[in-house]
Amino acid sequence: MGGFFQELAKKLAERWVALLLVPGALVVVGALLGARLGHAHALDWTAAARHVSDAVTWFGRRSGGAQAAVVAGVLGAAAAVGLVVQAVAGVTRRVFLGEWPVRPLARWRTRRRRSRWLRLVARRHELEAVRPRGEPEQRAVDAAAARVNALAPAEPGRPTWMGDRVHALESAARDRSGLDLTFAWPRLWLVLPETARTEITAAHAAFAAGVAVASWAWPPVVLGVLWWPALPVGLVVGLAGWARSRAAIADLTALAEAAVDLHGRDLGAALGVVEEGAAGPLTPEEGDAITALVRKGR
Amino acid sequence: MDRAERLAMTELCDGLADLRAECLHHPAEVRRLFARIEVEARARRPIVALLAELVGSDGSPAARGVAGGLPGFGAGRAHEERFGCPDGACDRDVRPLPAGPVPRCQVTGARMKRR
Repeated sequence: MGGFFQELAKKLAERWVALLLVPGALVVVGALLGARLGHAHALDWTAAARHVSDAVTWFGRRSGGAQAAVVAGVLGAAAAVGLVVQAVAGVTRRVFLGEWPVRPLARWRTRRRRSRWLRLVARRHELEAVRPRGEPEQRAVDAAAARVNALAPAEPGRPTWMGDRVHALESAARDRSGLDLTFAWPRLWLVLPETARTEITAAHAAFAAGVAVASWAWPPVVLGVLWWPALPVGLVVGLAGWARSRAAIADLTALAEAAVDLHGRDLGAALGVVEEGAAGPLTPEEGDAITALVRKGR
Repeated sequence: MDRAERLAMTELCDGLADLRAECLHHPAEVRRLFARIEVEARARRPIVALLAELVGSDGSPAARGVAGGLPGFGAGRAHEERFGCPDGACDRDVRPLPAGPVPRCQVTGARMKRR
């Protein structure tokens, strides 16, 4: 390989170590230390230092082969933790997007979000009715609209903020463009230009990365059962991943809605539902025709 | 194709097999990005920017913040959407929910028109 690609391969290897091995090793070390300290001596630094010192001394007394085996064992455990965390990313994703297994809790949260949103909309409508409308009144209307949009861009239907971003995309596409995105999205994807696909793929990857970060909160939270100082660590990691995921899902849904507005007609033209050369977003009637074609009675 | 692209293409072609093997050990994002580089290279389109992304990214791409507009943008002016009779036969005026369903005429069932 050339020098540039040798450097690239090195960087990729470093990244793998940084993303999976180092956090995994920290979890393994934390678990070993936490198990020894327990809740009773959770913050006993003297005891912690003694345990570390004992472990180092024990390790130093082993033969070369035994030391290599211990290092391999720790690295293997760290890699295993990394793989487990990758596997539970799906759970984190479902939690974030409001696909909760506890249905009554999900329904309760959704109801609360919906009634709060409807109250904010009602307040906005009250402010819009104020006459005469000067600049201060307009600012109040704008602020009221911003509060509605901050909670959800359409009537809430999921128990979480992120879930409602996706729900709003689906419902706005159905209600305003007649498109059932669950079925229409793969077809739309195939007619999108490369730039749109690149941007949406990047936003999707950013969301996946946020979920991956948040998933690293699970090991410290589980470890917190044995050793409580792991809990705040898990909380901070989880919050960081949650914040990244929120920003990414907002981008992803905004870009997807833009793609529907800008390229929905290309999909209609490809399916022969709209006239070639016509411009503008799909009308609900055109979208209804597309949906009928792609759902095929399903 | 400019000189930088040509050089990058040469290096990629030279080390492709090793890079493919290396990328197998990396997260899905890195593998996807590398697959895209291969597609672009095969189509003889520019790859320098994508290679820079591969080298510069930590496999965890950041959100770009397009949803909120440019940094410092406010919430914008509220759009007060109203719908009227589809064929102008009456003066009914409906204020739908934000991004909600387009209201329909109660008599004909037709979708109302945006005013």
